Amino acid sequence: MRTSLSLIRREFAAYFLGPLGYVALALFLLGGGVLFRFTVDLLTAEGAKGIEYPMQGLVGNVGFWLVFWVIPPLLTMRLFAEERATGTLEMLLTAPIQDSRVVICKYLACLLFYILLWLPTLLFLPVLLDLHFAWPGWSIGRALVAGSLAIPVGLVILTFSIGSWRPIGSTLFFAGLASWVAGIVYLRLVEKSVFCPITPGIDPMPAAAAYVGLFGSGAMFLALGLWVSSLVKNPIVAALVALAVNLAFILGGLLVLGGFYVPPADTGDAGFRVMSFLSVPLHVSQDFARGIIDTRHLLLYGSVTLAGLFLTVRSLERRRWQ
Amino acid sequence: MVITKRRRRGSWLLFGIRALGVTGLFAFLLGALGARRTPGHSLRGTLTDFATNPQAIPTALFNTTDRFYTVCLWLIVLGAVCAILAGLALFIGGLGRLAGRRNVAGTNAVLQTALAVVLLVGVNAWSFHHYKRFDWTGRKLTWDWPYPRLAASERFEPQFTLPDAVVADLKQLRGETKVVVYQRHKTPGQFADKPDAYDYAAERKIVEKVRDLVGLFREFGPQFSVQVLDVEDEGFTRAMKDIERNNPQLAKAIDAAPVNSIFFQSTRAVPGPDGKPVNRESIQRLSFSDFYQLDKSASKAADGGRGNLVLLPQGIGSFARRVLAIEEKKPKIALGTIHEYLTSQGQEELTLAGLRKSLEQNGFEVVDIVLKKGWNEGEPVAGAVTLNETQYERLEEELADYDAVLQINKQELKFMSGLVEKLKSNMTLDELNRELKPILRGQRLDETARKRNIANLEPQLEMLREYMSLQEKERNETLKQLEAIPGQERLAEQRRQTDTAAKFRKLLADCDMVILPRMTVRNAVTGEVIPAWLHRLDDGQTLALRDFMAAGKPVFGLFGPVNEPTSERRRPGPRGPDGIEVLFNQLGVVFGGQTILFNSELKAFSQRRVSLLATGAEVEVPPALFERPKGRADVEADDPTGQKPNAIARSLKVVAAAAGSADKLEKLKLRHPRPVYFVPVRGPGDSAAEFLFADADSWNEADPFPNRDKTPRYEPTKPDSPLYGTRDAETRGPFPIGVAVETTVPAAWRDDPQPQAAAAALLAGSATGAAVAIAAQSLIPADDYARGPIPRLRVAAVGHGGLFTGPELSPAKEQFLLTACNWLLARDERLARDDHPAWHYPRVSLSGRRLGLWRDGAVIALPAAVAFLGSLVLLVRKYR
Repeated sequence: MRTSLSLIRREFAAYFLGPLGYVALALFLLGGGVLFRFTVDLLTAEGAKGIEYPMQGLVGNVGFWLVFWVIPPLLTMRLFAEERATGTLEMLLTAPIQDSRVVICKYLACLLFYILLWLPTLLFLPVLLDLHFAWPGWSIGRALVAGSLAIPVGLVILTFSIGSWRPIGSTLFFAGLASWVAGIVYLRLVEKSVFCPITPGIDPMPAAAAYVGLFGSGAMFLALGLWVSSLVKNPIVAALVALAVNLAFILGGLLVLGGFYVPPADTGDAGFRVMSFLSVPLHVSQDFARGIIDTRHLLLYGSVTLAGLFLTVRSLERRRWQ
Repeated sequence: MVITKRRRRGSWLLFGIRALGVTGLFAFLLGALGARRTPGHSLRGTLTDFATNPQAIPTALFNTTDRFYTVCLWLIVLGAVCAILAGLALFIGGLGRLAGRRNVAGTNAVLQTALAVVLLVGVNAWSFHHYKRFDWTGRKLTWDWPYPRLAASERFEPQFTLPDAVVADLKQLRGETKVVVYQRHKTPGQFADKPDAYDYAAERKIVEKVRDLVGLFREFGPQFSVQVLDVEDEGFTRAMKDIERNNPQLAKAIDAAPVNSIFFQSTRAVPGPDGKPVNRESIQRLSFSDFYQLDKSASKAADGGRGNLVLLPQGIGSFARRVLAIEEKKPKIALGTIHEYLTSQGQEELTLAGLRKSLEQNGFEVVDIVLKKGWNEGEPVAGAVTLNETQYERLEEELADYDAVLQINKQELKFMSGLVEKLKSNMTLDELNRELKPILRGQRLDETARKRNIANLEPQLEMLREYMSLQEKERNETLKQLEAIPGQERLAEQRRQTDTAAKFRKLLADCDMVILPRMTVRNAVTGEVIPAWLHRLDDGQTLALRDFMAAGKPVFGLFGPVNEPTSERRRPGPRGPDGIEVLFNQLGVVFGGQTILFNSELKAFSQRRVSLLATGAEVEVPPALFERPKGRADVEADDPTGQKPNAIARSLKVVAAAAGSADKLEKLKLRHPRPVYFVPVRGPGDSAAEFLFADADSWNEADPFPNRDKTPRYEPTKPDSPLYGTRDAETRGPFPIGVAVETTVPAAWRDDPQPQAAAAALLAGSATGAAVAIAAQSLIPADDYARGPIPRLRVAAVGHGGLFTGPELSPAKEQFLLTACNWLLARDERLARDDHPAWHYPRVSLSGRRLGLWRDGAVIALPAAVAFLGSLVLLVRKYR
């Protein structure tokens, strides 16, 4: 367990020790910011303009998917390919840790970074959902909940520090956690209240569904990227091959959203149904961003993710036996 | 490392096989691309032929007519063969390696990988057909300790969930239903001359909503097939041709659709007249505005005047009902007019063709009944004749005229031919003079006269022959038209029936509603009227209508004013309300005896006194209102407390809002209407009865026609007049001009006094008395008392007979007509409504500074913050 946590920590921290993570984060937030601005313009428009599902403005746009297409390969290209190129893969494979665990740890690390990519977009939600905060004032319970700010501080210290700073990080993390739990319990049982009543002016569930869809599809693309990275020696080649593989799940949606392909008149057309079954942009823009959870999409993401991870493990094992 | 010759040959062999496979695939791709784009050939058809009939392969490959296509086929075939051979060789080689002892682990890995891929494909292939969709809209996350749960939200409605009642109904549907969404880009805001941004935005949004809804319907299974046709798409013509080939009735309906529409079509096999099954197509049409209605006035006023798109949902129920009622019979409406010219196939100025067209386009069947006959024999008498019948009679008379004329001409031809023959023959002059003595009448024929007569008569004979040939042709045309009239047997039966009342009753029995348009005052300025007394029905016709209404069937009366110019008043004829007006009176609908004139017409009246050329055609009167203007005192105003608004008015207000005006349709202008009042003789009813009003800038005039001595102007009734304070007093507007009443059928209409009187007569002759009455009642059949529940009846009356006259109805009049007809037929679900919460785009209110901060913050500040953090970290790492 310690080894696994250590591996995850190492891989996660690696994103911040070089420019790659920051470049990916900045690019992603720049693209997201532009789309957010476009969505806000529609939410504050005059006349007959507007947008019914704000998340569609953010993630149902062909521009977003052009950026999103590039992000997972960027995050996964170095995971195995760079280790093979630098020769550190053999050391990793000879360590007392199973291949499957190595794969899972690397995958979890890039998945955590992927989640971190999306965390700043939560700042857009007060506008996208027209949230109204009715702050009732400070109380004991609320002060305890506010103590949970120590959690991210502790996590950052744990992730990036070594030696004597680790205990401080752990203390902050667990103290923050305890404070949060105590605050929730106190608010519920004693004060019979919530931290801050929030009233959404726009239905928030489509946003929640959109994040579910984006998490699932991101997990799928990351697993595919990880597998490709395990097959090749060069990280650039890994990124390019991953881009090509991901295109199978993105191209149809890009063509439809970009207006280059008009869906056939017969909505039951078999070819179009197969294309939309595989097109992640259509899943997110037509279903998840509008609040619809379709088991087909989730099963696709889950099955391809598992298949990608399985194939990655097999790829490592094949290398071990060569 | 020493590489043996054998290993080198093996490597080259493997390379060769792989290269062959890749080349084969590439050749296949090139061949397929080329063959696909060759005009006059279908690659799919060719490949299907190859699969089903292998002997077709050599024929196709050695077909030299289209060399390019042949080359492509060769590439496809050779490429496929090479790829398959290479694949087989690799597979067999791989099997060989798998069987080797050194590759047990590798074999295991390959097998597991293959299994994983098969599992991946299999699971997804299964989920393609077996899935569930969860609608998270209109929900909220709650904690049902210890589990989170989705509960219904109080603030938001689910957007992608059908109501349970609709789901239950749709599950019972059997047979395939085709749904066609037809976008012809005729906007739902059809009253605006120039559609604006709101109309186009509404169209786009409604199309999106329609697609979502039919997508929900598709979840019920393959019995729903959905097609979207957009006239602006390139593939539209091809798609329409496909529909014309497979579903001709549907293609016709689509072609005739006046606005963006949704069609529901099903085909069912029914036994034909010869016993063999024939396919019967049932089609229902729904316009986009029956699904979502644009509220333009609310749209413009929304968000404090900044504007938004506001749509009024008309309920998913009406959509589902059209699907479920796809095979329901079309309601049949009878138009009762007094002359062929006034029917829906009459003369252009007076015709009701526009009314027929609007009704037929919206799923009604229309039949004309002419209520007067004998127009060419003096004063017309009561009749009950369908248009087919009048046409048949007219054509029959024409045919008889042609026959009579031809008969005469034949005789003339015979005589003239005989005469010419004699003149040309070898008869001597004496013999000719003897023979033609009756014709010559004392004159003598000489040789010159003989030749002159031959020269004159021969061309005349030729002309007569030509004339007769023309007459024959016209006669045959007329006969063809006569034979083309449908239902000849029924027509013959109808014509045999001389009892007008019985005939009228029989015609009405087939109908679901009657419209009685009585156009009277066409132009008060010029005195152009159709006298009201001409429209009077006789007792038999009135009784037939009474029984029609007693069965709960509605009547829509369009009764124009009964005032006449001075010249008409001198003509004899009965005056006063006729039987049908009395029937309406019994239901509480009272017609005023004046004509409503508007202040804007005063100038035209004055001009007419001076010049006969002034017709007042350019006068614009104010539009009719759906709500009585406030602040005016009326005689016997309805007590509004506790009453629901009138359903027709409410629906028309929703429609008017789509045009940008909440209380009137700008194009619904009625000139010279008549007041129509509601007097609650049978109780006030649940909802207000009066639904249409003339503007306040008007007055009721008993003599609305100008002449040399007088111009109509407002002169209030004096207090000493007996009319003062009554409904008929001359006062300023507004006036109600439309009433719609729902009530029970009066008992007097249902209890036929005949059985009682007959029984009494049987018992005691002419004696009367309580004992006789009681004894008579005992003879009345018991089931005569068990009539069942009292039927409810809806009637409507508007004080304007020419409201729907003309070859085309304006969108405002069409909407008025359809709303009235749907209400009268108790199809309330088809009325435009505003009782569901309106849909609009969500809006966020942000002040200028906050908006700017959010916009710039998202685009610049956030990425800059990340870049700053990254730069710091990298700097720290560099200097550590």
